[in-house]
Amino acid sequence: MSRLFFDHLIVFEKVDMVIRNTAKNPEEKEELWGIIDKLVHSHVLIQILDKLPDENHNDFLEKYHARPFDEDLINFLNEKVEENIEDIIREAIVHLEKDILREVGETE
Amino acid sequence: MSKKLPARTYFGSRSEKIDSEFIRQKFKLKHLEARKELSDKYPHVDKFFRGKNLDVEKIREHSAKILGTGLVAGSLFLLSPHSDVKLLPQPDELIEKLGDGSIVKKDDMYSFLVETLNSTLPEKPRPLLRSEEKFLEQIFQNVYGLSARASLEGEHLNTSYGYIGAEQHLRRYPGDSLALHGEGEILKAGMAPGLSAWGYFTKSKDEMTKDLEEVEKWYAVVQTLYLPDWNTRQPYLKDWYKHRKVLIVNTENGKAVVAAVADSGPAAWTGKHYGGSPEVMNYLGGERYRKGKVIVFFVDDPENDISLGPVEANKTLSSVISKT
Repeated sequence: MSRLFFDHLIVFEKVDMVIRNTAKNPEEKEELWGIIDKLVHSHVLIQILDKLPDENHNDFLEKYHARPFDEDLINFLNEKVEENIEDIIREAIVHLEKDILREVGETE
Repeated sequence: MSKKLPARTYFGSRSEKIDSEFIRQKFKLKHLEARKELSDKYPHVDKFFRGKNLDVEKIREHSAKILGTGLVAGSLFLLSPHSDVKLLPQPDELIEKLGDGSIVKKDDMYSFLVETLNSTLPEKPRPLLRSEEKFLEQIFQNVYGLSARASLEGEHLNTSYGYIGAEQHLRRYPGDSLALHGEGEILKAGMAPGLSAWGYFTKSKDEMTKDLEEVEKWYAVVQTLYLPDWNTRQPYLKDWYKHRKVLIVNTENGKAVVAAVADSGPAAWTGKHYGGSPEVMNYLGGERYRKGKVIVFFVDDPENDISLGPVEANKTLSSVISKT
């Protein structure tokens, strides 16, 4: 499965609706999906690294590179940040979706 | 035709009026801002991935390649020590549960199937092990009487166990309209605003066939766009997947349909891995079924003998368990 360990935390249905409604063809739809995918990835990494102590960054990156799909990374992060990383990501994602929708003039 | 159509539920937003170039620019800008923030705050991330000869933004493809290698090898190495692999039931255990193997009511057969799936599958969807897939292939062969395979002709979806989401009707030809896709509740899903990944089914209404009508009625969406070799094995893969028959089994109630792949998606960040036409979703879970856990296997049907649509379970428990 092509997936990242935090995929289950990301549900952007409204952004998906915007894309489906505006893309002129399937290629454009997939291109827009791809841009959002990269945006989400950068955003999530920032949230994680903001919380993770510096001395654990390299360890995290090694684990992430070796097993990007492995949801056990959540456990690793929870141990190191002493907060619930899933809640942190979920909250950040809610804000990101609102931000994206505001940018394109879509109201909630 | 003056039939009044139900209100569209999916795309009543302002986005109908937004230009796609406008949102592309907005999305790109947001992406570049996030990318810059990541690079500025944590330059060691880029450095780390450069050292691994990997663009950090290609991590999804990288993940798919690792998983693909593990699935092909049938290896256990991908699963961590904390994994949720369950011991597969033995045939005699199933026989014990099922009694004497006499003819049973259909509901009992579905109960048996759901119980078996619950005892086999992890609570949270993940890529299945080859041993789990083989077990399910045997179960499905015996319960539904058809050959369904996780891998067919060397092809394998990125996952055979995941969440399916409700899709809309597809435009089959220029000028196609929602009113021509049935009547009543099934029209509530509306018509997808864009074309499917394979475009129109035909160039005109006159070229439509009964078979193509069935394809649109019982269509499935799978994430071909995330296949690790999707970009390097064209046009072969696009042709291979077009209208490819798949068996979709609702793991919550055992209901199953044979559907044809007719679109690509959904996006990875929607929390879903497959899509189903309004008819598929209605059969699998009822009118209000929007999302749920399913198994998706390819149907091995070289002679094109198997019809699209609902699949009934066998009536004889003994036939189900004898070969399992």
